[in-house]
Amino acid sequence: MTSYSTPDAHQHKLYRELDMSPSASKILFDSVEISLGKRLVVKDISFRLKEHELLCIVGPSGCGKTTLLRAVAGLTSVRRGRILLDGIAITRPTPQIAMVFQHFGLFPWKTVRANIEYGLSVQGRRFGNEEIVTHLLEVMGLEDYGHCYPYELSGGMQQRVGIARALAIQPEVILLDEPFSAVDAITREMLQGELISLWENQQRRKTTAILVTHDIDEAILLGDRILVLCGSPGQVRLELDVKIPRPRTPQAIRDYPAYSQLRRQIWEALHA
Amino acid sequence: MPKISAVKPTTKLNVQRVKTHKRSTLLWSQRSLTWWLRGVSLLIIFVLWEWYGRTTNPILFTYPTAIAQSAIEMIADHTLLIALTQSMSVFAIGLVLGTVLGVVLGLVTGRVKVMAALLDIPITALYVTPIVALVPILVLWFGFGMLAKIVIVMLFAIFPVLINTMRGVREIDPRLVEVARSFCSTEYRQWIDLVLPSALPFIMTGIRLAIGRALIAVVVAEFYTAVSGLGYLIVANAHSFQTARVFVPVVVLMVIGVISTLVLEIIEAYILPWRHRHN
Repeated sequence: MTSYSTPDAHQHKLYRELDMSPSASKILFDSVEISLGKRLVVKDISFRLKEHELLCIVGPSGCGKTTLLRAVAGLTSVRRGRILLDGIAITRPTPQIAMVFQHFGLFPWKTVRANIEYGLSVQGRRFGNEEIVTHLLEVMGLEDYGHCYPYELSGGMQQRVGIARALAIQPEVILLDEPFSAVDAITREMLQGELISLWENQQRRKTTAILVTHDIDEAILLGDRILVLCGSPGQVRLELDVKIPRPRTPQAIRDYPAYSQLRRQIWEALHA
Repeated sequence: MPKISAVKPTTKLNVQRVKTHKRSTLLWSQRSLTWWLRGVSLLIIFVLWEWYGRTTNPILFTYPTAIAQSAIEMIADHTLLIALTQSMSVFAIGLVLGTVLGVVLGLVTGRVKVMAALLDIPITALYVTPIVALVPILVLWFGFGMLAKIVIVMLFAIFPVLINTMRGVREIDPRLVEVARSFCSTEYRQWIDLVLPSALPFIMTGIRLAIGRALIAVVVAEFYTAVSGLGYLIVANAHSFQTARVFVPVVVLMVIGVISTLVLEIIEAYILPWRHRHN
């Protein structure tokens, strides 16, 4: 346990001393501490995210990874420290950030189309919404389901709508809270594949993403970087770069020697 | 915007569609059986009623064909139509007022904590009070005319709507509130996207209950204030022992209740399309 945490925490301090200017990073966590009621959920969280980086936060349930993500979304307030987006502290939800929920969070009374358009309309964007929604329906393979209600779709389809809704507002940061944990294993693999190609084929190449998961393989498959969160209150146990080249596919990724090595490292950090 | 080459899951969904289709034909045959059984039960009731009614004293009881005959007479001399118009206007105005007030008060008390604290106890107290007991006081305040009748119907109709609306607003899915917040929704938009749609099914249930209570209220009002409408027909014919004629307005009231509930169901299917799955 100590063999990982001590040098790593030290390394964090070093990073921060080397680069104190918050604007160099898209998102900066500066000794963040969050508590829910009286319970301290996470403490001493410090790390940076560069633009167009996909960070995966892995950890067992109860380590505060979802809470951390909610704080980035501005849904939970930080007790100590700061979370900066482009150098500005996040204190409430902002239109630059979109979130994808574990429970999909679709409005049952809205059609697929209206659900995807929700963020756009709620943020007062009036023009070109229809084109954006039509395009996203196409991208997500939902062309024929625009007029369906969520209950008519399978779980996987519902999460496609959830992802499309987040993408529709063209956010700078997209937060995914265990997006595939509520679907079956086969659908999960399909959705992971779709998410990778979405990520790798972006034209703007500007989106930054944080994905929370408890699935080690998912983290390696999707992430540019992995943060292992452990304990209660949750702390950063390990920070890793995933150096497996893109494009990645769920099948081919297992052939890289780095894959099993990363897997072992994360596993050991989680079970230390 | 990104383009992806993901496999479209159309095949899987086609299978689902076919399944739904099969299930709906199965449901249809079940439904026709249900209607057939309903018809049989009605027929048995009518036959038994006719047989028993014909064997008893016509002052004490009556039978369907006698009621039908009286109905034709009462339609011919316009008494039924006049009474029906009087009753229906009281019923409709009272019900609409009660519903509107109930929905507004319910939304406000359900969503605004201060209002809930202020109104919770008075609302519950009034709800559990038998409103019939208040009729003499209402007469004192509003007289014997149309106004008193409308107030009585409104008071009967308001509580089921109000209490159901309040519950509907309080049972908003907190996860959806979170979604709305994360997309930076304003309070006004939360009312449109969340509060109203969540409360709507509850409001409809409230209205359905209110229809029944409003019908009771119409008759109560017509008995205890200036006698008019269908209530008058019941009282007047009962006093002159024309039992078959007493039953005509009763049947009319029943039919009004059934029709209003059916109309409400049609409206419900139209404005709550996402709730079709249960039917």
